[in-house]
Amino acid sequence: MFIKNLIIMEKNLTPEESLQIIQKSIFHSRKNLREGSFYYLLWGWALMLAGLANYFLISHYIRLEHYDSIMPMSLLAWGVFVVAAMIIQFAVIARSSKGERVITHLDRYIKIIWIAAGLLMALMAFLSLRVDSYPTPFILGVTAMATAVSGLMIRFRPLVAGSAIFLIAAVVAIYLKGTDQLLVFSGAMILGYLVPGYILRYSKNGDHV
Amino acid sequence: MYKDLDPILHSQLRLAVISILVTVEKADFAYLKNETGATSGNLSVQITKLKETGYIEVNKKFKGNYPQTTCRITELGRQRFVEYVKAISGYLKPG
Repeated sequence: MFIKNLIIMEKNLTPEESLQIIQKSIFHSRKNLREGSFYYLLWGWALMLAGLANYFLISHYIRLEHYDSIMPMSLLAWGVFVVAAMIIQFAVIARSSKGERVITHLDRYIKIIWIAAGLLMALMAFLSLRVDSYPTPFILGVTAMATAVSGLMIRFRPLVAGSAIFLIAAVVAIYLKGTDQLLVFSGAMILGYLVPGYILRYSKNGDHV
Repeated sequence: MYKDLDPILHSQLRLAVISILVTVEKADFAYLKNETGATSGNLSVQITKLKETGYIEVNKKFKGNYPQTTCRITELGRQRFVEYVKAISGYLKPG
């Protein structure tokens, strides 16, 4: 089998056959973009629940007038959901890399954008707390940018629409008080991440590029 | 016949491997095997040949208990692929 294959490989190809091989290979190696829905669903759920948990937690401590507990409990609530999502993400990536693996140019660009967005979100959180403001609108603004770029790169309109939701949510949130901003944040996660994420996952044809 | 075509690329499986790698950042052995439908032995021989000529880079490492061979096209490989496509389109033009 091995030698037979080698002989076949060495036969003279015609230019038409060469072109067929190139076309077949290029079209075949397009990755199914549906796989990307995992990240939007994971982070959509994690951040939506984190926003709601914070809303109830902060409202609860305000009722009790335990103002000193708000900041540490809020940070803890965010931390629990973000760390849980990160652990799930790493576990899923580690498991998938045991099978066949391909990294497209798009995968790399999208990864770079989200790493940059993540760093920018951390910076926004720090800067806003320094000026005694809630970080929610600023984080929503950064999310809008990264979601828009990702959606445009994979040419998936629902995600681009999701980025517009984040942009609107950022503007709305700045006019609301802190706890209500969290409800806007969770709502934006549902419309901006979860809805496009489920559309992507269940779309008949996942390869939009 | 077709003497000006790069003999490294003018081979069914090597051309398929380069065509896949030109479109992606990197791909592992299992992916290339599945996409090309080649046998492991044959694919391994052709990947070694592409590596020896400097058309691709091969990175071998262990991920847990699984050996993982990752391939990536080099600038030279990309350049030769473009030249090869130009050369065959010369043959495909009428007249």
